[in-house]
Amino acid sequence: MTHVDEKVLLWINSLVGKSPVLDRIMIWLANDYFILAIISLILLALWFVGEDMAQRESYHRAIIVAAVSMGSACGFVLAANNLYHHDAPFKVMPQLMDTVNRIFYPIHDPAFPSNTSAVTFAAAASLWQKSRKIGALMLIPAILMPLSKVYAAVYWPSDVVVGAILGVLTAYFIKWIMPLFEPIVSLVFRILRKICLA
Amino acid sequence: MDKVTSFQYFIFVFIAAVGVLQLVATGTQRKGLLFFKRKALAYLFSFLAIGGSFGWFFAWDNRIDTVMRQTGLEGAQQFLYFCMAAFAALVFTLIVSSLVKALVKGQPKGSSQGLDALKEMSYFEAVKHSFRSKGD
Repeated sequence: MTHVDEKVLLWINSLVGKSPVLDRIMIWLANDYFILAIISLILLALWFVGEDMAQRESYHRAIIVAAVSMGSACGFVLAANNLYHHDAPFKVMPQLMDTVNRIFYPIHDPAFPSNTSAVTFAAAASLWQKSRKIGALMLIPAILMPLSKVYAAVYWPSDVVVGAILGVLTAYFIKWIMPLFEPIVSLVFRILRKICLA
Repeated sequence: MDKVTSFQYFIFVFIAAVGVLQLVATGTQRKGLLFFKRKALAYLFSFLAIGGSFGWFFAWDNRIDTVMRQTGLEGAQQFLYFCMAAFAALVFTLIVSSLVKALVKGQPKGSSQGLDALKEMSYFEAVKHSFRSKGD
């Protein structure tokens, strides 16, 4: 697994510096704020989408699942960090430091599992359960952000894959336990409808 | 080296969220949320707000290659400030759009509930209507 990880990482990382345009795109995608702001703004926009109240409520529920899943995924990543951790690629192979600095910066947090992919995939999987179309659209930033961090040698490919699995499982788990909170959720919707915000 | 501050992030999200709200209100015909009567103006404002906020936050002074090349706001902080800024943007949008609507005479009244009411009237009128009518 480690060998495959290293091979894939080095192949992706070998592209750094070959194309200034690709490097620039990856700098934007790897940024701590860019993709997460886009995903969050899409969730905000989706709150107002829907032809009728029933359709809108189904979007609202998906947005709540997405927000809770994104937060919970961070928590599960923290828990996983305590169970197992390994060094980021640039720590194992110091020669990659140059590419890290060119695209991103050396992270201090544990690399395994990737927090980035857990959060972005949690958002995408939450919306996937509501609408395949929107979920597939959200998968694009969900894949691109962690991929750019592999490109920058900040994460191993396995960090990203495990983070993604964790994010998807979190989204399905949160959706699954949502009925337990139904009385609270229904009350919130009733209040929001009364003040014309749902 | 300077870091990305919570205030800068708040301002970025606030302006972008105002733009997103105008964009989605135009697209979903929620006239009660709009700042402008003309669709083209509303779209122009939305794109300028979203593009301007992203341009300022990331590209101004080449910030993406300087101040953003170090740990800035943690995930939890980003989440908190995003929620605060988006809520502030929503309140700002509701107030400004209601003020704009108050200046326009003879707007149609409706009987819709929830967000649908914003297709026909301003936010504060919709809330007043919601509390006057019985049921949900």
